[in-house]
Amino acid sequence: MKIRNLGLMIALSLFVFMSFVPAALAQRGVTDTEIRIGQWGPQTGPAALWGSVARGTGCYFDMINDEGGIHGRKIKYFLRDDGYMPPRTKAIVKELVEDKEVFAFGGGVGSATGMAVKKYLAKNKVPWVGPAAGSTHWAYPPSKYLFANYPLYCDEANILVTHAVKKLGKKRIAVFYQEDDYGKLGLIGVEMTLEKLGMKVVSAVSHSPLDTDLSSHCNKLKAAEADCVIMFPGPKQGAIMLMTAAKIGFKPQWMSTSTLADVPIMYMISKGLFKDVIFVTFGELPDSTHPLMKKYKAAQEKFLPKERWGTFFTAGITFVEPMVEGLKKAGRNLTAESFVKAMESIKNFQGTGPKITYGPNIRQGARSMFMAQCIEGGKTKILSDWVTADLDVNEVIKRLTK
Amino acid sequence: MNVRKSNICLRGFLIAILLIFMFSGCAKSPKTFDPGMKGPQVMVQPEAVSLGVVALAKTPIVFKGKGFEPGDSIFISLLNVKKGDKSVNLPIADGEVDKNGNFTAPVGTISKVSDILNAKIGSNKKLETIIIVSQPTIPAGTYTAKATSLDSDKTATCKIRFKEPLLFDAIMDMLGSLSGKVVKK
Repeated sequence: MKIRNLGLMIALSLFVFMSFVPAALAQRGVTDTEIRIGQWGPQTGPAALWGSVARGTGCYFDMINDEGGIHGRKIKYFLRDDGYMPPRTKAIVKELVEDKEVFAFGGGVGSATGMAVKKYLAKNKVPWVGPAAGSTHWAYPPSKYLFANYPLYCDEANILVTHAVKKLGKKRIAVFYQEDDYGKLGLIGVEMTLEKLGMKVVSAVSHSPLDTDLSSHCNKLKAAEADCVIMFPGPKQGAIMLMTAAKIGFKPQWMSTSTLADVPIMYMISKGLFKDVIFVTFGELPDSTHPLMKKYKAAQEKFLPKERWGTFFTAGITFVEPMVEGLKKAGRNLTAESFVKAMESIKNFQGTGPKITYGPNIRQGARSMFMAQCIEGGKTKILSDWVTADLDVNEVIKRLTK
Repeated sequence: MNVRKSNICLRGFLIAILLIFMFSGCAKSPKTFDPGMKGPQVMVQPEAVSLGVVALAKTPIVFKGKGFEPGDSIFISLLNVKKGDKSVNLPIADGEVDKNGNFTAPVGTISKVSDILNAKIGSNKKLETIIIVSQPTIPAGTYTAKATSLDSDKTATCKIRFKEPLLFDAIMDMLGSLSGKVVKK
């Protein structure tokens, strides 16, 4: 009798234990019916213009859910407003990982905000795809769960300068840049590209994020007799520089990073002076007739009809297309590890951005952009097909950290 | 005699104003951590800050901590801040813990303007940066600030007082409005 009771107790204990084991081994953020994905973004505050990135991602996920989801699971999306402030980003990410138990993050505007949580996400094995900033920090050195596809700012510089020199015949290249890693990456990209071409920067002028009087900056560029100025500024400073230059009769060829690629906005705030600026960009432009863009436009009209169909809204889709591709490839047995393996198997995938390739230890999925130019009325003319940069990123990082 | 009395009163008034300005700017002895306390601690300098727009924008508010995990990451939240009908926790500063378990977390300008002043950073017609005030600041009072770790479960709290603006602060805000740098809507 005693042995029988003991046997029953052991069996019962095993039964209770085994019923908890599957839960203990279950992947955070993945259930039978849903995959939980989060994103932070500046919905309010001085960077709210870029808040549409996260809303674009949400619209894309709505479209995917409407089509049946991924392997029978719908995406449950958590968008949080970090106001472009790292303290908020930290609080949001901690809450979404530990309370809401998200599986992964997509997008995420800002280098400082992303860097504030990068280590935490890696430590907690939370996949993160498509940080919305062209920093080298995401992919160099590679981090297992982090997959970048925003073009590097130094690569943008490489493509712009090569075009300026080889296609436009420019001989005196200057740089106007924001005094932080974003601007410095652009400057280094310009310097290294010119060195390969046997040339030098004729003037490099920086601004702080709060500068609004740029007359002395502009005078320096003019004094250097630059015939081309490559810009890596804040959008406001980009507009102010164009207006300041017009006042003093300084008329180089202006070229710009993708952060100023919302052409209608830049045209408006520069009072039309953004006309003729050549810029690089990371995805199909809003007026593109690409079949996917038409499909996404229809989704925007259905799910977010009041939203503006602009560059940063569509960027929110472009940056997470590879994530959805990875989720599809991972199959029904979705874990962080199977997702990483699936992402690493992505070769030459192309949605509305450049071709994306990842691999073991390859976490910068794309180094290609195309060029366009603002024309009359704030419209855009495409100038090139996808162009791939050829800078040595390790050398860029060495110079950045010197 | 009346003229003499007036002069004395005027001189007394000016001296009083001068003394107020002198002593209001006096530095207090810096706060230090409690040496008898084990475990994580956090403190803030200054412990009291005016809710005047210019005063708050110009006052460096810095949280310092000790006793946290080396290599950890911290954010500081103001707890139970009334925003509309709700009571929320506002993350306003963050920092990284050094190898000695210490951190420094300054409150950034955007946090001060957006979270504490309930204002916005905008631009005027010349695209100069301005502060746009369209609603009241957070209520004056003493708040608990909590340091939360990202990686470990270590936390610590301290108090910070936000004071109603003094006459001097109101004058500075008026000057800010006249210069166009502070816009009330």
